[in-house]
Order: sequence, then structure tokens, then C-alpha cells
Amino acid sequence: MTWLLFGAHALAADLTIPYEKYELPNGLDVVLVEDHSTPIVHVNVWYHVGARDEEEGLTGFAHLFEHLMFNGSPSQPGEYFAPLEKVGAALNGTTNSDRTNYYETVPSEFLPLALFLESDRMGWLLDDLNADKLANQQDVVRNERRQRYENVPYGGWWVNIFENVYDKDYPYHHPTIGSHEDVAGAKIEDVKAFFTKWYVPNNASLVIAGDFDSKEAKKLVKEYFSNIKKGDLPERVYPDVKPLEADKKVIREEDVPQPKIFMGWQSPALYAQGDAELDLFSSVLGAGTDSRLYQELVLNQKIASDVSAAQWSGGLASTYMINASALPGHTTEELEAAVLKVLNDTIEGELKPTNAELEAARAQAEKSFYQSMTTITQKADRMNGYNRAFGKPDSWQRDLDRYLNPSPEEVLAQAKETFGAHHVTVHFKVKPIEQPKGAEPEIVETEKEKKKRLKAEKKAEKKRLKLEKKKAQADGEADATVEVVK
Amino acid sequence: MIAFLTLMLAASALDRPAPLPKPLKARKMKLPAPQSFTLSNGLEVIIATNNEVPLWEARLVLQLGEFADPAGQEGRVHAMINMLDEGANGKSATEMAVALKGLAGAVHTYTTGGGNISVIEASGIKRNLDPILDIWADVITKPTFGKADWERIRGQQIEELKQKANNPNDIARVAWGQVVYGDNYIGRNPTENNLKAITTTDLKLSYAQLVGPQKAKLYVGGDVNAKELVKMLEAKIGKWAPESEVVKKPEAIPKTLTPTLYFVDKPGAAQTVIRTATVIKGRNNEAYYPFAVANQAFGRSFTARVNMNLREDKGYTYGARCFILNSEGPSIHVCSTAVQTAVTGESLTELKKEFEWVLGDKPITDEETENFSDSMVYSWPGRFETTGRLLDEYVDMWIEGLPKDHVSGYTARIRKVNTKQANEAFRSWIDLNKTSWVVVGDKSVVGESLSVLGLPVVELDTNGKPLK
Repeated sequence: MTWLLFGAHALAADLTIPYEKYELPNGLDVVLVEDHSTPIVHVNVWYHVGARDEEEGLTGFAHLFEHLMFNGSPSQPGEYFAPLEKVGAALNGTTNSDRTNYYETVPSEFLPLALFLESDRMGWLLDDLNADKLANQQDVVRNERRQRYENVPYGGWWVNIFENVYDKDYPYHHPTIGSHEDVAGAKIEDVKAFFTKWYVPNNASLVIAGDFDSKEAKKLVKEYFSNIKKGDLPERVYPDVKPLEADKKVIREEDVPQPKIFMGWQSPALYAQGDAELDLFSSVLGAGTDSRLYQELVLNQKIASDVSAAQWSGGLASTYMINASALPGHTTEELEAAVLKVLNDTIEGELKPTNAELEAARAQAEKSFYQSMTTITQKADRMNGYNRAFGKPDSWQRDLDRYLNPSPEEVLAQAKETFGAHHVTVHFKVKPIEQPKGAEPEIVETEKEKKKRLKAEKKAEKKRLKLEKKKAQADGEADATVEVVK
Repeated sequence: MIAFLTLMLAASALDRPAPLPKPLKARKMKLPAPQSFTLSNGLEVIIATNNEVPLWEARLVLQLGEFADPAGQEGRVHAMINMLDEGANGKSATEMAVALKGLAGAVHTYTTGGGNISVIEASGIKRNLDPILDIWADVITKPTFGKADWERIRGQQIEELKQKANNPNDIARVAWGQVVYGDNYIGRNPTENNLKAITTTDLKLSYAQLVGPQKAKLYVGGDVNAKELVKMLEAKIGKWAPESEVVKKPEAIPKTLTPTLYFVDKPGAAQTVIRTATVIKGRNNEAYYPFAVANQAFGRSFTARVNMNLREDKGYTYGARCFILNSEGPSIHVCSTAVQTAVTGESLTELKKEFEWVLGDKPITDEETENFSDSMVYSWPGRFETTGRLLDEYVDMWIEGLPKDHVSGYTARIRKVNTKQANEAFRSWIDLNKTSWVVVGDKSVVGESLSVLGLPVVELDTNGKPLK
């Protein structure tokens, strides 16, 4: 069967994206990426500050601050969204442990507006900031926490993993969303200090991608950004990750639909040696029906309804996560034991990945790179990230090479190192709350109805097959596709 | 030259606040013109090429969905469609997964469109178009429906039902479906017993009787050569022409909605989920676009009235939006939000106030009409940056019977709308006496505040069925 052979291919061709990069005297990195496929332009600003830079007692601050950046600036007091929504912008911002980004996509003719507004809040946000806005966004952020982490089953697992995988002094210990207490306790002075310290052009990088003219863009950037003052950026030194000294088990008994486990291991940082190796390993271990975990836990042992595994990469350190949901009659301890055995067998035992499987993982990586290039939004953000990590916005091929280069031995060596260390497991046990049932009877077929229906359907099927046969004879072909339904 | 220098000098002394800058020259949207071909079995193939990256996707869209489930067999069509890629043409699900991974391809089968359509989708990297389509063709023409595979998939679907019954956001959606459509197919959801009653015989019969190229279309987008692709498709599925029944779809007619608050208790819920429903008309009605402009200002945008009130002014929620759900039948207007449990009464009150104001003494203003019309028109081209989104629109056009100029004529339709028309449309279609409210929250905390709307309260279970 031809489709069982893997498509032969040379190592992926040249992944390059033309760009231009320069730096303003105030330290702002500017990257221009022309792409004339759709008459839109995307403006993307990274501030190199994230949850990892938060002070004690102020968790959630970087993210809270991100919200405040949308609450208006001197030239557009009240609401940053208004002038941009008017011109059909798709806009947002995101905060994670490592950085905060802000972006908008607008029709090409509104590039001046987008750049102007980004510069307005970069340079002059405090002029329009007040305690009312802070109070409002504190409420909004606390609602975001409820929506993402509290009003969904297993919602708090993310927090549990990080606070156990990393010790309390490590910058990844607390979640980006922060605690209710810290977010509620933030003061306007804290906000002003944060802005003055971190929101400076020499701590930021600007990418413009899409259908625009570079000469025009450069003029605008100079006009709007060049008189924002450079800041005194403090030296930042982050501690090393403290290896776990023992496995940790966290038990939560809650009103969840199925018993479920979430497991976490410390692993190499984004772009560091071992990071891509673990992505390749994930393809074999936990991605899809053919993966080791799915085959063992879902297909063979039938103890889980779903299982997945992935490397969650961070700028300072990464966390490898595996989770599995139990089928009725099976426990979280069973799941954990099964996962650990599969890991062991995949790294050192009878389930070792084949060369063909790693080749397939490489092909999947290549596809995902192309997928990231289909919109200017994704392109711009990736290139901003590459610029930050390597000083070179066009590092696509360099990044892809991390996936194409490692040998099977290197992949397994990294897996052995990562999974040979201790891990954290969060066990969710089911503690159901009685839910009232409806008074209406459920619509279920009776045996009599079922017999009647099956009889009618089989009769209809016989008739259908007859018609098919007639048609096939009329066509003069042997009918190879007719199946008799037993 | 001098003018240029003047501009530069002025720039370096730019003070804040400053007036917002003027736009540059507008650039034109150029969309690929889709090409249409027909295979010898009558299947129409619509192709939109895009050579930006070496990827493609193909979707066989069938006008087949949950509406074809016999009563008591809810979940059967969904199960059959989902089982198509769990083994075909003598190869197991695992073997197919291995092959697809190696080809950097994917095949997915699913039901969507609110119970209206089924999709058999293939996607992947350019150079492996042929072998990936081979697997996809097998899934379409020779699915296995193995017993062990159905046991496994059924087990997963039963767990998914439990997940849905535990998540307040899903509970709200399910209850809403029951309230709006009742036992019409869109509202129905399978139970564990329904799924347990389905056998592989049922699946095979459904497949044989319902799946065929009649009432189906194939949409392809991406880096493909149209002529070569059509040759490939003809070879792989051109002769696929089983006798299949084209099940007549019951009309997606919503129930007559009453001013009632339907409540589902979710003990311990950190938030209360609120979803309204009002039946309106569809996209082919001449008042639709005026209505849409009014709704953009009322509730669709971030800076629309509803979100600015509930989120930015009051801080009750992370977001509150009102949108229009389109389908073959009448469209439904929905306002949806999740609010902090403690402010449930206040949130319901504010949302009701917003309705009363816009229908009463605070109609949509000229400024709102202008701002939000601009917003809709300017954001239109950006929606079609990827071929995937363009294909989505083509599918909608087919299912809803939208005019050929649905994409190209959008701007003109919006620009035609004036404030008077926007308000007339909104006022004629939105009526609180024909609006139902679905609320999911912790009864022990919010039970008493439900009376703020002055509506009768009907309690439902997590399947959306009335308790008494």
C-alpha cells in the first residue's frame, strides 16, 4: 500500500523571511517585515518583563499592568480600544512569565494610528492613569482568574503544578494571573513604579509586519517613538532551578467529572539544548492514536479515556507535562503507575522510538513551522521572539534545525535525563455533588421499538443494495464496494 | 525638500496629547477567485489557491448531521461520522495514524454547524498531497466501524458528556439549546444510555444509507494546482456514487420564546453564566445588516454598550458580548457572559437595563452607527487572510443560501445602513417579551437574586430538562 511508505523528502528547504532591523537611539529595536498578500498591517510590541519580574506580594502584577495599558493614554483618554475598533482592528495583549506583548492588526492605511497609539502608551501612559482605572481592572482580572481557573473542572491544576515543581524563590513558582489577595492589594504607586522601571524603549522591541511601505514606516516610527526617553534598566539575575529532591503528590478531592492526573517534570528552557529533543520525544510518547501513552493506557490497558504529553517551554526553564483521565473503575494511582512504566519502556525498554517515528516527528515539526507562517500575526510574534532570543528576527531555519538535527540517541539521552529526575503529580479524585435530575423521562428506545427499527433499516438496506447492483450491472463494472451488513 | 525637512523637525518635538494621525492611502483587497469543477459522480469541487506556504486543506462537507438521528438514537450520526477515521480499507486506526504522521498530514471527521453538517477533512504539507488524499479517500469510501474501536470511542464520548455536565459554560450551552430548540435536532443531546444503545450495525447502516456525494460539496484551499488536483480527486473518488438517501432535514425552527428565566444549579460555581436568546431573522432578510450594525454597537464589540457597562464600568465580568447565531433557519440573538457569583443580581439588572435603554430612550446614535459601521467594514478583508477562513465563509454561503456577492458586497451593504434603519431593525426584532434567559450558578448563593428580572423562574437539570 503506497500510503504506508513515508513520503521521501530532503531536509526542509530554506525557511527565510526577508526583514529589516534597526535600533533607535533610545534603545527600541525595530523590525520591518513586508508581506503584501492581504491589505492589512500588524503592529507587535514586546516588553521584556513578565511574571518572573514581579516582587513578592505583587503576584499577577505584570498581567494587571497589561490590562491598564488598554485603559487609555493622553491622546486617547478613557479606552485604548475605541479608536482602533473604529478602524476594524483585531487587537489584544498577552502576559506570561517571561514577557508581555501588545498587538493590533489594522487595514494598511491605519498604520500611522496604530504606531501612534503604541507610542502614546509606551511614553505617556501615566498621564492618564488613575486609581479608578486600577480598581476597575483589579475586578476584571479577578474575574479572569475565576473564568480560567475556578469555574472550570480541574481549573487549578496549572497553579498546583508550578508551585510544586518550582521552589518558592524561583520566578516561575507563582502563576501569571497572580492571587486574588495580591491583585486586590495593588496600589497606584506600585503601578507607577512598575511603568517607570520596565516600560521603557530600551526594554522593548517593535515588529511591523504586513502590507506597508518600509520607508513610510520608518518615518512614522521616528516621528512617534524617538522622543521617548531611554530608561535605567536594572540588571536582572535569575536563580537556577532547584532540582526536586523527592517526588511530590498533591491530592484534590473535588466535584470533577472523572479522576484525572496532571504530572510535571523540570526540563530544559526554550531554545536550550534538549528543548526540541523533548518536543520530538512528545510526538512518539503522547501525540495521537499511535503514541505510546495512547496505545498503552487507552487502547491496550483501557484505563484512560484520554492522555497527552507535551513540553511547555519557558524562557528560563521548561516544564514537561503529562495528563490522563481515568475510565470508570480506575484510579489516579493506576494511571500514574502506567504512565511511569510507559516512560521507562519508551526510554530504555521495549517501546523505544524507531528512526521512522523520529523522522515523522521531524515532518510534523516542519508542518507546524509552515502553519506559523500563514498569518502576519503569528509571523510577527515569532520574529519578535527570535529577535529577543537570538538578536536575529529571521531565525526560522535555525529554529527548525533544532528539530531536524538531533539523532535518536540524543533524543533518548535527553528523555532519560528529564524523566530520571523527580516529578510532581496532582491527583484529582471525584467527590461528586448531587445534581437534581429532570422530571421528564429520557427518550430511549424500547426493545420492541428497536426490533422494529432494525427490521425497517435492514429492509431499506437490502433495497439500497439491490439498486446498487442494478446500477453496477448497468455500468458494466464488477461491484467491489458492496458490503453485506451483518 | 523643504517641506520634508519641516515635517522631520516637527516630528522630533511631538507633544502629547496630540491629535490622532490621518490615514495613508487605502490598499485594495485581492481575494483569489475560487474555481469550480465537477467530478463524474456529480460532486462539485471548489478550489481557492494560495501559494504563500506549502500547506493545503480539503473538506468534504455533507449536509448531514444530528438532524438525521431517529428519536431515541441521539448521537448516532455524530458517532458514525467520528468513527470514519478509526480504521478504513483494511488498515487500523493506529496504522493510519502512523502513516499520516510520517506524511505530515492529518485526517479528521466531525459534525459541526449546530447539527447541520458533517466534515471529512484532510490537510497537510504540499509534497504529500497524493498519499494523504489516498487515506482520506479510504475514510470516505471504505470505513471499517470495528467493534473494539467503537467501544473505545463510545467510552470517550461518554466521558465527554460527563465533562460537559460538570462545566458551567457547557451546561449553559446545552440548556440554551434545549430552551431555544427543544427536541428539534439542534437542541437534542445524547445521554449515556443513547450512546450505549448504538451498535456497529447501526453505524454501518447509517453510513450506507446516509453518506454519499449527493448534497455534498468539496472545498479545497492552499498550495495546490487546480487541474492536477482535480485529476487526483477524479481517480480517488470520482466513481464514488453509492445509492444513498438524502435525509430531508427538519427545519431548524426555534420554539416561541417566552420571557422566562431558566436556571440550572451548579453548587460551588465561582461564576454565574448568563445566556439570553431572542429569535430574529436570517442573513437574507433585508433588515439583517441594519440589525447587525445596531448589534455591533449594542453588544458585539469590546467598546459596545454591554461590555463597557458590565466589564469596564462595573467590573462584574472578564467579558460580555452579544452576537448573532446564523443557521439555515431564523438567526438567534444571544448575549453571553460569566459574572462573579456575588454580583449575579446586579449583572442581570444591568443587562436588562441595556436592553431597555436601547429599545427605549437611548437608541443607537449617529456616532455609534458611524463608528461601528466603520469597524465592520474595515475588519472585513482581514478575516480572509487564511484560506481556511475563506472556506468557512463559502460553506456558510452554501448552507444558508447566501448570495454570490456575500463576500464582495458586504462593504456596500453595511455602508447603506443609516441610524434610523439600524434602530428600526433592532426594535422590531428584539423584544424582552420574546426573550428567554438561561442562568447557571450556585443556587445557594444566587437563588434569591434571580427575581430581579421579575420573570418566572424554571429550574432545569444539567441536561436542560425541567425539574418539575
